[in-house]
Amino acid sequence: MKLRVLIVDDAIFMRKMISDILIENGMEIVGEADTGAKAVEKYTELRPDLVTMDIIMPEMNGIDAVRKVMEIDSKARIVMCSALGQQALVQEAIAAGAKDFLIKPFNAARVVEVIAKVFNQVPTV
Amino acid sequence: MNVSDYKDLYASEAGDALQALENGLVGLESATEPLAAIHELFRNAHNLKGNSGAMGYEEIVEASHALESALDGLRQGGEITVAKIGCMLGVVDILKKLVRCAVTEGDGSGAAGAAGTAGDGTGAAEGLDARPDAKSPLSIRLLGEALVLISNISDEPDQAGPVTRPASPPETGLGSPEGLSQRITSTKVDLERLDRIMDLVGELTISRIRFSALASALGSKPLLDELALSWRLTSQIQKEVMEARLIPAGQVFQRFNRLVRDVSHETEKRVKFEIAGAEIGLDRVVLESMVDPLVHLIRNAIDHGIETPPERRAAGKPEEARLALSARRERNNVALEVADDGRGIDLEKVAHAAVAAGIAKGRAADLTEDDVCRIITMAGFSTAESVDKLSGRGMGMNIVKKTVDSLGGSMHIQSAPGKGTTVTLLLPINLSIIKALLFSVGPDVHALPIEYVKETSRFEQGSLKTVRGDLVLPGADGVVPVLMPDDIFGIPFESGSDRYAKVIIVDTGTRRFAVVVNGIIGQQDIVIKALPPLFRGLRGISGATVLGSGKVAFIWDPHILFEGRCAYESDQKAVVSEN
Repeated sequence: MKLRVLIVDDAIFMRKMISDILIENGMEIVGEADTGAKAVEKYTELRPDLVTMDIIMPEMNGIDAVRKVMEIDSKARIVMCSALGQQALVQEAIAAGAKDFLIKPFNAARVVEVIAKVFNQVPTV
Repeated sequence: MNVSDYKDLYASEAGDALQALENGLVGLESATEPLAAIHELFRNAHNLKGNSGAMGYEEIVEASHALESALDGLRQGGEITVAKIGCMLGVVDILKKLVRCAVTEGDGSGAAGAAGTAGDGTGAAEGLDARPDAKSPLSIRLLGEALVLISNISDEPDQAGPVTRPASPPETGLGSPEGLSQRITSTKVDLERLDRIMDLVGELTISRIRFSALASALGSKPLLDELALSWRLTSQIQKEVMEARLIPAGQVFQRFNRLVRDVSHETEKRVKFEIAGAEIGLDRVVLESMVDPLVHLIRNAIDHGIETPPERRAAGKPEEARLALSARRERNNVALEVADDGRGIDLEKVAHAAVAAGIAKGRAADLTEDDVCRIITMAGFSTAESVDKLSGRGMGMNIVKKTVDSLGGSMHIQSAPGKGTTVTLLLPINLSIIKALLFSVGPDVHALPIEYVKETSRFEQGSLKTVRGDLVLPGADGVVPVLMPDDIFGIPFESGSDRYAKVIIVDTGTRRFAVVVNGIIGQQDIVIKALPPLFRGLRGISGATVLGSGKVAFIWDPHILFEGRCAYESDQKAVVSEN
């Protein structure tokens, strides 16, 4: 079965780029969200296998969204997507429960590698 | 993954981000919640940086990173000053140019999109050294300018080194309060694609008309019934696509925040700029061609209409003037309005200047308000004593009027001395489908947009008179110059042996003509098609349409078609009095 992914980013451009990479690598995009608040809503609704989460977004940032999602589902697999210069925020997100991070601009091979790593770390239910 | 596939999306989102940055920065001077506004600005700069990085546009990454850092400085409690905002607006301008360069450039740069992009450093020298020499020098120069501008902002004395950001994130969180961050739940569609759909719907409409012609000829009732349903569906699709193609006026309106700020600073006036009706939809072509006219009207209002703060105080008005730009729907038109509460147009002065310049005859006092408004929009007319940078060349209002006219709209000026001026531009919502009068000249069918048709009429052959060598048709309200199709296009014209000849009385708003034709076919919705390149040079023809019969009909543009016809056209009053 395909891996079901929720993509969270406030830039349409980024969502498109990430989703293209993931689809090319055999994953299924089940939903997209452009704010932290919507990410939490969509997560509850869709229960995806994986979430890619931007940090700087309107209406609840990515870190708070990670916290909320982890409250809902402690097994959630979230990978942070951040630009250079946001390392401190990435660390905070990891502390909040995110499994790993990707630095923009994305490199397809690196994206797949990180996702694979996340799934090896967290045993599937 | 090919980066160039993302170019359109990138360009569109970068444009939005830059516009949001510009508006946000302009609004920052008077923001009630500056911190929330700065968060939003930061987010936009940050997204631009991220997207540009993915595209491999390194100069944009660096310039937006510098802007992001400057905003971060403000977020950490740096003082918001007009000078800083000015510098950041300068960087936004440069970013606009950089984005334009990047998206119009060939696909040569940053193929993988994953190439190591800009580091954290904002030092100009460091950035330049690292650059491969294949980069366009323009973008490097622009980046240099941006970095210099940003270095002016820095509060710290040591501005040479890279800006270091504090390790801890702002404790308030990055999410901005509701209201600021309303997101639109819509998808972006390439306008060209919508235009193609529009074209196809046009073809469908034409095929629909031909179908019903055939069905009527066959006289088959079930076929006609079925067609009636498909008619309704096609018109619905047509309506939906037409609506979808409309662009909210706000997309253009918001660009003027910056203009108003710049012009009012330049002229040392205080202006509160208000926008209303930003959601009103207009045809893309109409909206695009209204940018320059609106720029002119806004500049005029600030430069000539609005008084300086001391003048306003003396006149008992609030020092801060009000300038409103609005759009509203008026049946099948959209009215765009620029209204100020300035000194109003000095009608007396205009009338005197017009008489002195020989534009108007008689005494200044005899001119009506309407006359005066007409004079203002004439070419070369200006009451400004000197030509300055902003306005006063006397061409502006004339160009505004011409642009509005060419779109089939109209312009109205209302002014009250001491109270202000309102200029209203009444424009068609849609340019793709119009109502037109179809008529025949010889074997050909032609079309004239219905708003130019005053009436259709006939006259007894041989009843025409001549004035100064031109044919005229006597009518109830004076004489109307007559044009024969062979005068206009050199179309061979046979008036026939009937006792009466048919004419269309055409009114362009400024002039009136009678055009002799062979037959009047009737009124119909037609789909305007652009002329193929070979025919673009045809003056006086604005496009063509395909009729139900499959025949092509040219659509006349009376403004151009009748330009320069008849020696006395601009002087009709004189002609009327002669007769």
